[in-house]
Amino acid sequence: MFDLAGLAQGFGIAFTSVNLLWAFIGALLGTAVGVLPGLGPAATIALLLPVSMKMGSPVTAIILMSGIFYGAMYGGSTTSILLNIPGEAASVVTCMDGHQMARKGRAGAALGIAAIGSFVAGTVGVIGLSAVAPPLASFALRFGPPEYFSLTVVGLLLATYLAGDQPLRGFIMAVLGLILGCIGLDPLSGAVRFAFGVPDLMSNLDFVTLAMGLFGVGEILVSLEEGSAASILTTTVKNVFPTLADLARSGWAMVRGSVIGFFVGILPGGGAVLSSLVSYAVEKRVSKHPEEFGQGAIEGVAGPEAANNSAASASFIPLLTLGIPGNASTAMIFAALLIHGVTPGPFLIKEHPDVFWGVVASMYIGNVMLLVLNLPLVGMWAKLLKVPYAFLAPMIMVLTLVGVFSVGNSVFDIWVMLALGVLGYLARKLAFDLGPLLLAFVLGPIMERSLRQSLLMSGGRPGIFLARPISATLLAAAALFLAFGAWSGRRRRRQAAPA
Amino acid sequence: MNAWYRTTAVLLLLVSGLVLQQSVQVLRIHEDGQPGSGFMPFGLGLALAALSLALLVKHRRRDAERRPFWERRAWLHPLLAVALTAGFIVVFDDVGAITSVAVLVTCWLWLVSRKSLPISALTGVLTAAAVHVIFERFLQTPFPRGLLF
Amino acid sequence: MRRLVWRLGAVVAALAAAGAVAAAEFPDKPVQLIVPYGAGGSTDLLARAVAQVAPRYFSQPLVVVNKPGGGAIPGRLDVTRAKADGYTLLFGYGSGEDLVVPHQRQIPYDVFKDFETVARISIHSIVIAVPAESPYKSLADLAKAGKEKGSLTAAVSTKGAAVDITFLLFGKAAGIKVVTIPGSGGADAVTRLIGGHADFGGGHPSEVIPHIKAGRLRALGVALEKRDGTLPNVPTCKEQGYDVVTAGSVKGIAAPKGTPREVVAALESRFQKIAADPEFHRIMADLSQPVDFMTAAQYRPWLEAASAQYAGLIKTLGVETK
Repeated sequence: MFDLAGLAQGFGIAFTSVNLLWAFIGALLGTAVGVLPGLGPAATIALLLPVSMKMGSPVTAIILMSGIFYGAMYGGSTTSILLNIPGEAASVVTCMDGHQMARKGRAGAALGIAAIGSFVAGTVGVIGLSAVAPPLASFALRFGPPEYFSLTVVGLLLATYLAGDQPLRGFIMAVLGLILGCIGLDPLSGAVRFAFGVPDLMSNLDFVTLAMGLFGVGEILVSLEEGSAASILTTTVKNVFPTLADLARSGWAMVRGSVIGFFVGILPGGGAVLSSLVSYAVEKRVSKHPEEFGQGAIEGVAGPEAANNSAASASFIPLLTLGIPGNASTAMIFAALLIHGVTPGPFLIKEHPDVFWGVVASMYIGNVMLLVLNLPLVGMWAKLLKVPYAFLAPMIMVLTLVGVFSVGNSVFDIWVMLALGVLGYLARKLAFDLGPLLLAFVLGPIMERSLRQSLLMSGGRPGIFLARPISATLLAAAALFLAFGAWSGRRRRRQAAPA
Repeated sequence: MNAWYRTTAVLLLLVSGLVLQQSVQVLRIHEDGQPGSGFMPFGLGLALAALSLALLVKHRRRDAERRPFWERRAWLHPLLAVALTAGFIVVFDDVGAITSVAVLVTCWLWLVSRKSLPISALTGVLTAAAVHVIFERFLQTPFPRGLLF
Repeated sequence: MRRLVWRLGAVVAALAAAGAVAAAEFPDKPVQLIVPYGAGGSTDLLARAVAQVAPRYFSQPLVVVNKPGGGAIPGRLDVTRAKADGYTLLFGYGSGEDLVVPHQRQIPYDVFKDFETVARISIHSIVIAVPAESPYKSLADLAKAGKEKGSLTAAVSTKGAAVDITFLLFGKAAGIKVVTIPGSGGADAVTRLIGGHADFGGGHPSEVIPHIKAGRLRALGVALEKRDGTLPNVPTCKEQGYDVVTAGSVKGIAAPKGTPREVVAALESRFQKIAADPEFHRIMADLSQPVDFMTAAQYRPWLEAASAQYAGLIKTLGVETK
C-alpha cells in the first residue's frame, strides 16, 4: 500500500530549485493572507490563477497554491492567539485557550506550540496521504445527507460543550448562531428569510464578517472600556519559545489532534471545523487538569491546531483521488489542475504520478518551511503586543474594516460587522461565550440542509437517520455524550452543594 | 447582576417572538408534507424562547447590591469608537477608502487615545499608506476611490 | 486661503485635461468584470479565462471582481447602479438568475430594461446523468425504473433553477414523479450523485465531464435541440423520444443601461476577438466549457425567447418559490 518509490519520485520533483522556491513563496504568501483579516486563501489563489497558467508545469502551480492554503491555515491561528480574531472557522477553537495564554504573557509559547503542532500534523497528514488515500476517499463518499446531519448534531453538542461551566448560556449562543445562519436564501426552497425587504440581507452572512465583528471589534470595544492605559496584555512577554514542560504536556495532544484531523478532515464541507472541535473535546476529556481549559491550557492549542492542519492535508484526498473539492480553496486548486489539462480522479495517481507525488512531497517540504519561517517570526509577533494598545486598537479596527470589505466588496458588510461588534461587546460584558455562536453559525446551514435532504430522500420518514449505520452510530455517540454531560454536571453540583 | 440577565432574557424573548412570527407568517413550516423554509426557524424560535425563560428563572432572585452596567462614564470610549467607525463607513464610498482610513486613525488616536495631533496624523497617514500597499497594490482590492486617491 | 483656492483650481483643471485626453481612447483604466458568484465556480473560471486572454485585445487589464451571495442578486444590482461608462460589466448575464428567477419572485431591477446586452460567450447545456454503477443505460431505463418505484430522486444544485426545472420537465415527459433534492451548489449535487444518494442527477458539462472521464458518472441525455459540442457521444433527450429542451445556463456580458453605444460596440468587437482566440479555446476546452459567441444584436432576442420559454415551463410545472 505504502508507495515508497512514488514518494521518492515526489521528493525528487519537489526538491528542484524552482519548486522549492515556489513552495517557499506559497507558504510565505499564505501566512501573510492568513494573518491579514478578510481575503482568505481561496481569493488569493484566484488572484494567482493567471500567474499559474503561465507556469510550465502543473506541479509547480499546485505547489504554490497548496503552500498558500496551508500557510493560511497556520497564519489564521496567529491572529486567533494574539488578537482573539479567528481568521477562519477552524481557528475559533484556538482562540479559547490560545488568546488566554497570550493574555498571560505566553503568546510566544502558544504561537510556538501552534507551529510545532502544525508541523507534526503535516507529517501525519502526508504519511496518511501516501498510505491510505484512495480507500478513505471512497469511504468519505458514503457520507450522504443523513450522515452529515448526525455529524453536525455531534458537532453542535461539542460546540456548546466549549462554553464550559455555563451550559445554559452556551446553548443560548448556539441557538443565536443557528438563527443568524438562517438569514438569507434558504438553500432548499429558495425562499428569502429574515431579509425584511433589504436586498443585501438576501445574501447569507459571511463568516469573516461575523468573526471580525463579534470577536475583533467586540474585543476592541471591551478593551477601550478598561481605559486606554490598560493594554490587552498587562504582563510582559516571557519565554518566547515553548519550554520543555510545554512540549511534554502537548506532545500527545498533537499526535491525537493530527489523527483526528486526518480522518474528520476528509469529509467535504466543515471537516476542518469539526476536527478542531472534536480534538478540543478529546483533550479536555483526557486531561489531568480539565479546569485549566479555557484559562490557557496549552493542550487546548496544540490539539486543535494540529487537527485543523492535518485536516487541510486530508482535504487533498477527495480532491486528488475523486476530483471532489471539499472547500473553496481546494475548489480553486481543482480549477487550476483542469486548466493545466490534469483531471483529478482515481486515474490521477496512474496517469500523472509526478503531479500526485510531487504535491504530496512538496506539502511535506512546505510544512518544514512553515516551521522554519514561523519559529523566528514568533518572537516578532510576540513583540507586536508590546506596541501600546492605544495605537494598536485603531489599527486592528482599520484592518478588520478593510478586510471585511475586501471579502465581498460591499459596504453593507462593514455595517453588519460594526453591529455585530456591538453585540459581541455586550455579550462579553455579560460573560456569554461567543465560540458556540460562531461554530453553530458554520454548522447550522449544513445541518438544516442535510436534515431536509434526508427527509426528501426517505419520503418524509425520520427513520432514515437510524436505518443507516454510520448515521445511527453518530447519533448514539451524541446521546451518550448528552447523558454523560448531564450526569457529570449533576455530580459536580452535588459535590459542590455540601461545601 | 441578576437584573442584567433578566433584561437579556426579555430581549431574547422578543427576538424569539420575531423569529416565530416570521417563520409562521412569512415562511412555510410545511411544504408538500416536507419541512419547509420556516421549519428550522420555527424550531429555533421555540428553543430560544424556552432557553430565555430558563435564563429568566435562573436569575429570578433580587440582587443583593445593585451594580450599574457601566462604571462611571465607562461607556464613553466604546461609544466614541463606534461613532467614529460609523462615520468612517458613511464617508467610505464617497471620500475613498485610503483617505477615510487616514482620517479614522487620526481621529481615533486624537479623540479616544488622547495622543497629540501631530503624532495622530502621522500614524494615520502611515496606516493609510500601509493599507494602500497591502490591500490595493498587493491584493488588488477594488476600493472605492475618492477625492485624493 | 487664496493660494489654496488657486491650487485646488489647478488640480481640477489638470484632472479635467486628463479626462479629456482619456476620453479619446477606450479603455483608459482597468475594466471590472463583476462576477456575482464565488471564486472557482464555472462563471468565475470563464471570466478569468477571458481576462487571461484579454491583454492581446484590450489596452487595459480586465479585473475579475467576485460579488457572491444573495442568490447572485446583489452583485447584479451593483452593476445596474454602477456608472454607465463601460468600466463596470456584468459577467454571467443570461444565467438562471436572469432567465428563471424573475418569474418566481420579485427582484430589485429589470433584467431587460436595466442592462445593455454586450455579447454571449458560452452556453451550458443540462446533462442528465447517473452513477456509473447504476443499472440505467438510457432515459427509457430511467423512466421504467421510475414507474416501478413510484418516484425517483434527483440531486440538483438549487430549487427552481434551470437544472431543477429541466429534471422536472423530464419527469413530466416520461410520466413519472421526480423528487428533486437541492443542496449547496453544483459541485455538492454531483458529489451526492456519485455517492449514490440520489437516483439520477447531473448539471452542466463542466461539472460532470471530469467525472464522466473518470468513470464515475454516465451521461444519459442532453436537454438541448442539438447535441452538446463538449459531449458529442451523448444523445439529446429529444432523440430518445422525450421532449425536454431548455436553454440551459447562458454566460453573457452586459453593461449598465445607458452605456454609450460606441463603448458597447467597442466592447462587443473585442470580446468577439477573444472568443475567436485559439488560446482561449484551449483554456475553455480544459475547463469543459463550450465557446458559443453571439453579438448583442443576436443575443438580445435569443435571451428574450429563452426567458419566455422558462416562464411557460414554470407555469406548467408549478415550480414556484416563496
